[in-house]
Amino acid sequence: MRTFVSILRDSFREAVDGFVIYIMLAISVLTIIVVACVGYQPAEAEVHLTKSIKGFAVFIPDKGESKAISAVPGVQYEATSIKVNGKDVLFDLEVTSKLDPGILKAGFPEPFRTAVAGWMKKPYKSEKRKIPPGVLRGGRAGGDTNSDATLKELEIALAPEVSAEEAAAITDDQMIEFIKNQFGAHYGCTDVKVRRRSVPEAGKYIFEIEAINLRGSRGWGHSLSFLHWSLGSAADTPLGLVVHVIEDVLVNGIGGAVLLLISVILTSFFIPNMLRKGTLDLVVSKPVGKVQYLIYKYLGGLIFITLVSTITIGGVWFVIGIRSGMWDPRFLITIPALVLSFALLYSFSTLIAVLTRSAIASMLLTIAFTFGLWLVGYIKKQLDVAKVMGEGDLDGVSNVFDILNNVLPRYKDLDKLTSKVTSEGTYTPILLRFQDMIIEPPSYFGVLGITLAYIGGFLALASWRHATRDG
Amino acid sequence: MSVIEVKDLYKRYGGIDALRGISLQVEPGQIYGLLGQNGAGKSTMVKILLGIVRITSGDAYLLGHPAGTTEVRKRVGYLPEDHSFPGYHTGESLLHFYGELYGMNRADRVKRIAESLDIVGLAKRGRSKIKTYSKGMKQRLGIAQSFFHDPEVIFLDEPTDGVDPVGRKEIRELLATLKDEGRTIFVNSHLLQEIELMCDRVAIMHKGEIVRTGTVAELTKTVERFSISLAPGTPFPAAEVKALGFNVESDDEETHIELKPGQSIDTVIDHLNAKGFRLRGVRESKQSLEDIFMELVEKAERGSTKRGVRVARAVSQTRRND
Ligand SMILES: Nc1ncnc2c1ncn2[C@@H]1O[C@H](COP(=O)(O)OP(=O)(O)OP(=O)(O)O)[C@@H](O)[C@H]1O
Ligand SMILES: [Mg+2]
Repeated sequence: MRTFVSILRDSFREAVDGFVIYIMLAISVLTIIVVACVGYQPAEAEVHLTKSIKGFAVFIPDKGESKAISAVPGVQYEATSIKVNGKDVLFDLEVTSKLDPGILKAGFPEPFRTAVAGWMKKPYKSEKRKIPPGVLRGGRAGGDTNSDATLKELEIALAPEVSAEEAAAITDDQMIEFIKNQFGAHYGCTDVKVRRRSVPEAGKYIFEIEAINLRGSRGWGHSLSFLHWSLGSAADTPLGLVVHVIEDVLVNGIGGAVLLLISVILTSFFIPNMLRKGTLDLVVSKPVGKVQYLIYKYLGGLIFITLVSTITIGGVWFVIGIRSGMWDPRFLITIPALVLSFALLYSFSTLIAVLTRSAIASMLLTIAFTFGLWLVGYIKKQLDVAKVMGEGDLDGVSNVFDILNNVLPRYKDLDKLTSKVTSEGTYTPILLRFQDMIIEPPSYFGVLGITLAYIGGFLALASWRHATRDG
Repeated sequence: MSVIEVKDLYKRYGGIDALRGISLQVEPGQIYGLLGQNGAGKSTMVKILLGIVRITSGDAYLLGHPAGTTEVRKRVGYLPEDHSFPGYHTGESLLHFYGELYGMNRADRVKRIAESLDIVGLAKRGRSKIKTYSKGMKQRLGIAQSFFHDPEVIFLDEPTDGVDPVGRKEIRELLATLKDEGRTIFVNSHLLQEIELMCDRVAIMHKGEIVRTGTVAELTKTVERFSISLAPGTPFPAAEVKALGFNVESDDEETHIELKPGQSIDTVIDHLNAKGFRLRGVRESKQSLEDIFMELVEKAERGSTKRGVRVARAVSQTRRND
């Protein structure tokens, strides 16, 4: 352990001595500044609430616990007498059960009460249906899991079965609980005071709502600005979605790719430097195993990148929190995800360095390797789409890429997993369930297992070559 | 127990035979020199003992352990040839790093590093980055790192490489001090004079084989040579002396006589006195190690094909006698 710490400190000294750490920190700071410049302006309550409250027709059965969503036809939600107090919103929620009055009289359960009763139950029936890949998710980045797995079995929840008695037995408290839960499901707003105000009309309910920080919640529409320039007025886009795009596309996607690329370039010098004849002899003659030293050096590079990622991602998380009020820590999963991607690339770079002892060779080949992995993932996705659309006979090519994609480290899938976890930290429960319907996340086991196996394999090969090599 | 014991060691690098059946033994408290031309296999020999290079066949023991074990390296210091220190360290921080690898505690390191840097004359530059050092300074640092952790054995591969004459003298004195402290020192060099001045025992290596071992005195005294000068104007009676069975060679000033086994120079002097020659000087001219080395190399070159077989036979015979 002491040896490890010493070698780590030595690696760190190497990084700090050169320009490496400064470039890394510059990129890190730049990323944080760019994200810090993005502002989030909540939409006007009048406009946004009126529109978005209609979404209450959709609810999550099993008191919000189900994986499915459900809806009962004939219930309408409207917001009136809207008052805004900073981020808090006070208004009347008017619920109209709009079924044909004739049917209502004939003893059919009343829709709103049915919805509340259904919300309290497990989904009545769900059926599995296969949805081909590319159809629902064609537009999304990625999509390159193997073809069997992408035929996702969707769970479609049918309206829970509710009897007239059950509907009639719904109490005011249960209605209030339902409404409160709807604010959580649709806006991610949990601090809501609800009071029912009686009205004489049948099939009409009015709730007095005081929703604390509703305009700051993740489900509330926001528009973006960069410094003081407005970036369009997509005022209906929920804050969580906007933040997720920034986290996923800007930071994990583009920022992560740049960070990885630069890390690969900068760290590609570490191992070849250490393998230089006159340097290696000096250290190897100390009481350190040859392989131990190589692995420690590798881990040193990894810890270095962990540090840089932590600063970058931690900083971005902090400025997003400050600017948007969204502090969900799940975004921080991006740190280990970046480190794992880097671990894969660095293990490859280490192998090439041991084989060639050339920094340039290990740098260029590692970049080529990265690009190759990306390309396989990309082509695979295009072929999957083409297959579903029934375009031409691509079976031969397609099989080749299926196999390639299965045997190569699926490092793009890692992005998708990260994206899924971060979305859980930003999306509203309703949005998450929509996402689950159309995006099949790759399996953790497949992605982590294969990636780790490759890292282990590359390192084992590098160690073996290093151990058996003279000098 | 011998500090170093090597038996019948072979090393092949791809197609190159770097070591071809080396056997040698180094006793504690000696300065042992390994002398040989470029490419003779000196560095390979040392690297095998340190576990940097793998053995093809044969045995090598260091301090009683098979060569290359991690534990034993704690008790060993090493200055590699062509070393390149990481330039991002200062002399001091590098020694701290190495000291940590040797498992020294902080107090020990601080004390020993200051002492060692002072001994090699780097006390003032200990806190500068190594990339600002001159070649000789790097070499001095290299020597410091080979002994600062109090090793029992020190391997120095071309220790005076790049060092000025004053520095060389200092290094020789340092090695003498280290030896007096009871350490064993193993020096590789192609500089004959260095070895001659520094070492107690020498092994001469040629093309992967050891062709001669012994103390410097033994090696340089294997042939007794005397130079005799007579009073001016008196010619040397070369024919008479030759008739007595001596090897005689004359030049303008002196006559050189090489003794064969059993001969004594006294016979010649008595003869000259008896014949009334007036002696002006008799001098035992020691052969330098360089002469011996050149001779050995020339001999080896001449019989290079047969010699391998001969040496092998000699080695196997000694073994049978054991
Ligand atoms: N890593 C290696 N791979 C292949 N051949 C090697 C390697 N190291 C040394 N050799 C070869 O082994 C032979 C002995 O080399 P070595 O370095 O031991 O010689 P040396 O006596 O130390 O020479 P010098 O005085 O030049 O340092 C040389 O022919 C050399 O080319
Ligand atoms: Mg050498």
